[in-house]
Amino acid sequence: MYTYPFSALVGQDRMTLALILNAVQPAIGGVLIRGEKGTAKSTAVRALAAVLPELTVVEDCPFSCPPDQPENMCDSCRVRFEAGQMLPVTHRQMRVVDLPINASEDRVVGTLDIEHALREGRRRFEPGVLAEANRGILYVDEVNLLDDYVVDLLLDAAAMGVNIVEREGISFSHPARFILVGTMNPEEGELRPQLTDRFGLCVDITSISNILQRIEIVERRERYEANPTAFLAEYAEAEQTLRERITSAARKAPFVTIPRSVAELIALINIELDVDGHRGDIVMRRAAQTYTAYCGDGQITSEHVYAIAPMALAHRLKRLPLQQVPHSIDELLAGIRKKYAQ
Amino acid sequence: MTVFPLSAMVGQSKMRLALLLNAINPLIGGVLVCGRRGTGKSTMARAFSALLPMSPGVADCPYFCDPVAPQAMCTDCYRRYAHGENLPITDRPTPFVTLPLNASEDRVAGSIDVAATLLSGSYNFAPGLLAAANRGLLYVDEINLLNDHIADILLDAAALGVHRVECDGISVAHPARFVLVGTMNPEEGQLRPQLLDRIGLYVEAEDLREQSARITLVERRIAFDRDPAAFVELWANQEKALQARIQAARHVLNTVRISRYFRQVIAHLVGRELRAQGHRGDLVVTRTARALAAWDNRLEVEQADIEQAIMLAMPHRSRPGASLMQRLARTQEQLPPGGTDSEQPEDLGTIDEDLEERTNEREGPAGLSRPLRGALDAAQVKSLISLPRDRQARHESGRRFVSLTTRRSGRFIRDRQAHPVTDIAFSATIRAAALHQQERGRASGGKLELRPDDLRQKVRERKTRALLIFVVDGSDSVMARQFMPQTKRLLLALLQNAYEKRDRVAMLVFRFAQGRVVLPPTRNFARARRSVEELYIGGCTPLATGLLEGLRLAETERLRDPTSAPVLIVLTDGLANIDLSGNMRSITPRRDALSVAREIAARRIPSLMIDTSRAPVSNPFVGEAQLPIYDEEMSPGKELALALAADYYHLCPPDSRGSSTSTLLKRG
Repeated sequence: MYTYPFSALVGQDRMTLALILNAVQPAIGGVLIRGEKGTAKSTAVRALAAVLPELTVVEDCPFSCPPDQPENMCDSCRVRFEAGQMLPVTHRQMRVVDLPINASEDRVVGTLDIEHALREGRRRFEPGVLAEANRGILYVDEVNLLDDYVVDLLLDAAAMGVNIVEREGISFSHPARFILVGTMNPEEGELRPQLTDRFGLCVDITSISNILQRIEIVERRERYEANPTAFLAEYAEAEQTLRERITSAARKAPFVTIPRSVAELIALINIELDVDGHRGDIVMRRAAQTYTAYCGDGQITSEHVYAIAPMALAHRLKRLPLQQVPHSIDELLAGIRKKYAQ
Repeated sequence: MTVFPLSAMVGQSKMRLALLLNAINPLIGGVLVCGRRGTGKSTMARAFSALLPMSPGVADCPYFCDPVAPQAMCTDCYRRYAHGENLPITDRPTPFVTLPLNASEDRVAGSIDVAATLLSGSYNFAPGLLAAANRGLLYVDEINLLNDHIADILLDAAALGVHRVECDGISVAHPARFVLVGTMNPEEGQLRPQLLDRIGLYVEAEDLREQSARITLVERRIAFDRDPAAFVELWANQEKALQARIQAARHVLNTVRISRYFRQVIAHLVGRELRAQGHRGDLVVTRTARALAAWDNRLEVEQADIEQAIMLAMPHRSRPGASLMQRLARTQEQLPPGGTDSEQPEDLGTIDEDLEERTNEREGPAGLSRPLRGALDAAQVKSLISLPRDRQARHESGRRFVSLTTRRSGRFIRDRQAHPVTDIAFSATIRAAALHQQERGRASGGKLELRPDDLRQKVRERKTRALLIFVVDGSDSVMARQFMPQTKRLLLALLQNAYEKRDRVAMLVFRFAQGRVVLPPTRNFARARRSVEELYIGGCTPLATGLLEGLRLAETERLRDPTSAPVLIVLTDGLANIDLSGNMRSITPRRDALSVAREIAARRIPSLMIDTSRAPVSNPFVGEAQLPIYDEEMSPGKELALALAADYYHLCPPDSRGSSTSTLLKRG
């Protein structure tokens, strides 16, 4: 099936950047996209699949284990690895795995393989969506409509990086490290705070008011619908360039240096905004590092930090239950910037 | 079955046009028809699908994939196509699938093939209604009444054309591209905004006012019923001509041009004038305008196409009351034709607040029709009463909040062992049985051996209703007199909301020394409405007694049905002058009231406090100077809300112009 090319999206720069940063550096911890209906949220996430970098995986493993990291392997791969066996290796693109909102528990975590049990009379684990999403992106459209008990399962797995299954006589665990990407329209209800906090980044998007961009959106969409093949060919080069840029940024990110002054700035922003806990600091540093690499620079500057700060902090501001947000995150950051401009 | 021919239908010309446009370009995204029953909506939809030409598809594919559109194929067909296999092709009429309101999730989404599993032990997917509707038409009567969990399934399929099942041991994704045709009667509740936006066009069903047209309609219907085949034969030529016209329009659709000027007009109108959310409006208007031109066999979009496309694509994407044609005219005044891009790029990108102000004045409250006022009030109280999801299994259904249910409908969330099993969880049952098949002596590929122990019960969740108990302070005071119209307005809005959520309502009024139930728990909203209209004020304030009566009513209800969900909605200024024993000279009227309130909280009866004392908003036209204005921190109303553990709101004073569209409530 065809998907609309990522590089043909018009505007919504913050959303596309947040997605790219996660593709470069999964440790950032995913992104929550909040916005009005009809603002290309789902289109963007699905389009991202085409520009994701390649992974090296164990070919016959349903959990896509990395062949050279025994600490991140499933039991079966680790046993083989430690026994000195050569694991069959293959390369494939990182995946975007959909979690439909009416998914049931057994399909999310995995369960007894019925076919196998009927045929052989033996228990075998049938991997679920979490297995498929290991080392990839787990995408939940309308994440605020997801059932509470499925949310609990996701939170558990996301917190530990492991999916533990104890059901129907099956006792099994496997690695489940995934980038959680959710989209939601706040009109349909809010998201539980524990789940919101689980997302590394968060972007709020609205419709574009620029007339020329609006026209561009319609024109591109029409061209895509009239002839998808030709449209994809037209953007093939841009897609390739973006893919390479993401892959190269992933290589460079670990070597980006962070000067003391920038580390202090990150701490300062978190203190000024009275952000709960330390996840804000950690995510900001990772995102800044990744963004710097993506820009092709070697050292983080305050510019890099301010560019990613809104995404890292939008969902971490303290808010009392009845209190309206007095300022947007952008205004608050502008205030801090002014105060500490030297 | 013979279907009434579309060309013979009388009236409903807007709906017919909207359907035809979808036939020309299915990407328009379906039609929502608003109106009363019995106006020929479903006959029209059925006739329309029968009119559509036969289309070729893969003969042995359950989704009837289009053999020449690899991008829309199911994984199986795509694999075969990619391997260069020669797909068997057959022709089939366009499917017309009706989605009934009581459809269960497994029938809509598809589920396990039960028969095959029991007989041979193979575990296969049996496609549901969404699969059957692929490349056809999905008709949902009263779509606004669809259960949320079924609507959720529709959401994705309608937007993406792909339906994914991860449920009950099944993992399947298959194409589900259909033209969604929904009908609704807005008085029965609104459609969820998310779903509303995904339906392309909106038309109001027309009543036939003209005598001769009504007669023609009846005569044709009778002729059809007498001899359907002959009637269809009689209209065959017209039907053929219509089919040919659709085909011709489809043919030219991609070559229809739309000028840069019209593109600007659309972007400006949708994005700036109407401030519609998102970009679907732009897209649907453009697609519709082109389809309209194609329908008239023109290669260039004209002004009339734009106007018609806006009237079809924008009513449900704009705020109520906005006159679309006025807005279009204003947009075009600002954007003279022939203006080039270079003259007008950036200043259009900013928002003109003045314009917005003027708009509000011109199309402000005065211009609104009467039912719309009620709708505005209802919108204000829409999310006022929200109850958390609940783990108690309840019998009743409704639309207020989600809880476990004892009914056999609702979202299947997990399975459990139970005795007796009334609602079997099939995959879990098979799983339980699977391991024992050999020891029970089942032959390979033979009939499955099931035992009672294997049976698993489905645990389901669905929306249920609440009982809203209005506890109204009917005592006399200067403020109460001033607030009475507002109080009634609020109560009527809440009643409307309760009706839409299928709640039951009750009302009790307290004054003198008693609390009197003026409306026992009921679903009779006409009576409830009368009770509100008959409210009057007089006497002193036995607040504690009023609250106690409310508590009693709630507890009685819980005794009658332990799974009912009473909610107290207290409307008072929080002042009391009679204590529980009815003593007027008591020094403890407030203390009594607070202790009853605490008891209500302790018994976990959810409540909502609406303070009718002078709200902390400045309004020079309301309130005599000698009336105390409480500091928000220590007002009696707030104190009572704290004791009740209730959400707390202030009723806003009526505004100076007596306008009935002003704000009703303010969060305290």
